[in-house]
Amino acid sequence: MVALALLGSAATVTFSWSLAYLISQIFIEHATLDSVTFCFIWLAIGGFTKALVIWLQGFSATKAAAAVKVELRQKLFTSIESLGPNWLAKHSIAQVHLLANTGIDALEPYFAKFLPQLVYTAIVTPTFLIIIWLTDLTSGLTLLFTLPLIPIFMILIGWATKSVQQRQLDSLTRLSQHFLEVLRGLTTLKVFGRVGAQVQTLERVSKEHRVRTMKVLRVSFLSGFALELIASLAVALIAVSIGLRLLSGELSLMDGLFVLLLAPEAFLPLRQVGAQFHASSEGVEAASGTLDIIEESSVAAKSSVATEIDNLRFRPGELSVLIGPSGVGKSSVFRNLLGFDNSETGLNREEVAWMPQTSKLFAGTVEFNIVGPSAVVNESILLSACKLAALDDLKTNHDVGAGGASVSGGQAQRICLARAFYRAIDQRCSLLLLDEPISAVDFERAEVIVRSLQELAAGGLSVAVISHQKLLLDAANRLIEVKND
Amino acid sequence: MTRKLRRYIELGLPRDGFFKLGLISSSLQGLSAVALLATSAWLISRAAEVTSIVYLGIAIVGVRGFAVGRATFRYFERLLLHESAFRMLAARRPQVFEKLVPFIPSGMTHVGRGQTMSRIVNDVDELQNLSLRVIAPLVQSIAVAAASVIFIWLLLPTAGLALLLVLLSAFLIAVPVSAKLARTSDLCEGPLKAELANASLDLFENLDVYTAYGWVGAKLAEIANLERELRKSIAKSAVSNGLGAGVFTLLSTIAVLSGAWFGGTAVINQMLPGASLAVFILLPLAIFEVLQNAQPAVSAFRRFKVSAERVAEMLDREVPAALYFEFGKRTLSSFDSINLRKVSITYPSMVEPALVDFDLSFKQGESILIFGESGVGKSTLALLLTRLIQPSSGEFLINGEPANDFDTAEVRRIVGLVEQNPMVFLGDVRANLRLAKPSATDQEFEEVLVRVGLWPMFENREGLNTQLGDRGVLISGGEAQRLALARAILADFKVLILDEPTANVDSATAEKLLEELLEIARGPERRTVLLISHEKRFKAMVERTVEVAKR
Repeated sequence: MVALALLGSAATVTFSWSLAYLISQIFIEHATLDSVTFCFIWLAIGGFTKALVIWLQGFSATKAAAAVKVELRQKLFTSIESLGPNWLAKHSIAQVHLLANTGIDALEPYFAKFLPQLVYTAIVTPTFLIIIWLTDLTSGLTLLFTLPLIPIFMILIGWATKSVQQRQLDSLTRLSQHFLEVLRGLTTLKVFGRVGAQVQTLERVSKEHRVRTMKVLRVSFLSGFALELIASLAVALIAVSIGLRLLSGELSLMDGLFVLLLAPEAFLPLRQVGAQFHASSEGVEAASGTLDIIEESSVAAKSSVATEIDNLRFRPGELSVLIGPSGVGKSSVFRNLLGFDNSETGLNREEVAWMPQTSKLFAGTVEFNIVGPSAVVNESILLSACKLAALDDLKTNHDVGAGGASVSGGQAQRICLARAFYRAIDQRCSLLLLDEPISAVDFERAEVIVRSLQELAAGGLSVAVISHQKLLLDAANRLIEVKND
Repeated sequence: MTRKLRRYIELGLPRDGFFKLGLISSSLQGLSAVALLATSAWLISRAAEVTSIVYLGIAIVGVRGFAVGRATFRYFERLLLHESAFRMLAARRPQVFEKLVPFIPSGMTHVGRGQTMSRIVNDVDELQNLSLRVIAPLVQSIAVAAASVIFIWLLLPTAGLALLLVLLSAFLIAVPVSAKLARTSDLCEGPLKAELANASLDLFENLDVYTAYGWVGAKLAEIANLERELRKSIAKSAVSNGLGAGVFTLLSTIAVLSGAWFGGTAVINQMLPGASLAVFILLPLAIFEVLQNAQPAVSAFRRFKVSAERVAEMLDREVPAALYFEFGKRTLSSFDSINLRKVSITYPSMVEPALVDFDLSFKQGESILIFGESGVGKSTLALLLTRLIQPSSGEFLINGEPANDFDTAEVRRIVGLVEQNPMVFLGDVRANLRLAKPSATDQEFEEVLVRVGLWPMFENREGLNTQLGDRGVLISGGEAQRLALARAILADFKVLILDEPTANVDSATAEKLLEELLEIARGPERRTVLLISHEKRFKAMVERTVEVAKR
């Protein structure tokens, strides 16, 4: 990157010098075209080299940025993994999803444009400043005083707009959350005849978003304006001063033109740094949430919150049913056993097969939902898992659709049950934890499932179920009451 | 221009005064930038040959004026164009939303939720880039190029022609070539990004299952794989992106060379004053600097087109017969009876019917259990009665007259539904209730919460101001049912459908809860209640049972 910057500035100097020389030769010295052929050649060399440098710069910067984004996203995912499902349950999935996608994509300008531009500027601007200084002291001084104004203004305006930028991102998040919310609740809204009101709300939120964003832009564009103005005026200042000194004969046309050509080139990279900085600051703000999560995962101590599970004894061969009023935390007992709170009190997950209270289905076939992304499918275990879960009304190659759209609630529950059974048999688990396994299942099939549970327990497995259904209570070997301390 | 393309542009193009003023500012900014360099060159050249400042006065004023103009016009250009783009978006979003309304819930079986979200938010947002990143830089470039060519042509036709040729080749060769290179990678990146978004949403939503089953590693590997593909595709488009900018610099060098050649010849032959040579040579540099802004317009347009295509598809989608309700306008003041005769229902884009030849009749004041195994179409029946899907055949009569004769909103005022998974909106309790009856007072809200047995729970917190979290995490399945029931009571439906109200409730308490819910639902006014359930044991709680048979 440094080599490219050096090559680029050499090309620019060659190009500008040959142009200035060419003009002054023809205009002042009345040279013929033949005598300045070499100027044309140098001009071409300078220009073509510059083109090559620009191409290579764009190419390498985009590639580097893509690499950084991949790395950051991977880090975010592994951080969320290590923070655990309970952590995620406390956060808005929509927001985390936004961070992982739009948030990290928003970093692209920072890595692809801002950082390379910063390196380029750090090399090119001082180089040009020195060359101009050596050619014409007055112009060099003008530049020396105006150039630093750009970073100073950039920093000042940056400070002024930082909080505004944060607000813009907040309103963006709110806008997307509002959309998701309205879409997910649209059926409810239709039932209550509130769709018309939502259109108005949407209009109002969009309008508020526009007014807020414009407020931010008015300030952040002001920085672009200031930077552009300084650069333009500095060029104008230099041009006028060169003109006046040419008039008095203090300066040659050749040197004057050379400086005039090079001065904007000294400003251009600085201005671009400013522009890229502002274009990328939104991304950096957006990424701060990502970095927070990554940091949180690295500092989050493995807490060892004592849970009530010490008192629980699930014995092999027994079917235990956990009972207790709604909201007492029966599901949490299971989640803690699985170590979802990221504590070390959990059991060895490899020993446990668990079925969550809400049916969770992946896009794909029934078989994929049961077996998961495992490499080898054990057909016979798959068959018996389906049989045990009374999953008799769906073919294993049936596509459940996005979010389980093409199966009923009862079918979804039985697929999840078959998933737990498959794991219990395939992995030879010692403990089977089922959270409300038959709440959406019809009576005949529920009977089949309860018999399956007894059968599995008889085979030496510890089976623990959260349920209040009489069918299960009657079948239980033991009832465990979960109490609020 | 094809009709489709015209449609896309119509979708994204603002037509207000802000936009037009923005384009004018944009052109003036480009012209100022070119004029600044040209005037500076003229100033310096003249200074080298004249002896008095009098000759330079206008040039000095011009240089300063163009310098200020360039920055000022740029500022207003950006403000005006963003203002108009945001206004266009504010109009587009509700438009798309309204179009989507008939399709939810019955027409959404084939679209992933993550996709819906990105579709609406991202695609609609992308529409603003047509004016910001495509039209504005193109208009600016064309204005600058045209003005410059005319100016040079007037001075020296051969040089003008040469400049025109170089500029034309910039537009006609460089643009389509980089467009073609970008096309291939854009086509790869779009679907990959969508797939990545879906995969990450899947991971977040099912993290507990993936963790418990030890599948997180496999899921992360799948995501990493997609990332690698995406990275490869981005690297490919990087080649073309950088190439485009490089070609522009190359063409600008050629323009400078030709300007130097023709200008030089003219000056040597004394056809032109010597001071104009610098203008000839420097002008192309300034033009190409402006043109550089238009270079990303090609890929920006491609991205815009992909999104606009989806938005247009969504907006132009015909509402299928199963989701069409704009028939009668008659009002419905009271409820007497509902009759279904041989009703069949098929979801749009599905082949198999969800419900076949179903008969059901009930009168005001009845309570009925609609019983059937899971998957036989009980919930579809609820959607039918609340006019969320049309029957494909059979008769649906309200008070003895075809349901289609009545205004849909009127039917929904009479027939209400408590969903299996009631939606708990982000916000406080009051906002969650208000949607059922916006005119209700706080006292009415409190009374209805007392009725459904939720008041003690909220009273201890912040009353009606209690916040209900994302996805209603603060609320259990039974509490969500009670909240939904509170809404239904506020809305004062004459017929109330309870769809598996105990599906997410502990089963022992289910019976008690259901008894209570039914009692509240029926109320002193003996409201008509349809209870949908797969559990026969609730039979005793209602007056009669209707079975939805397996096909």
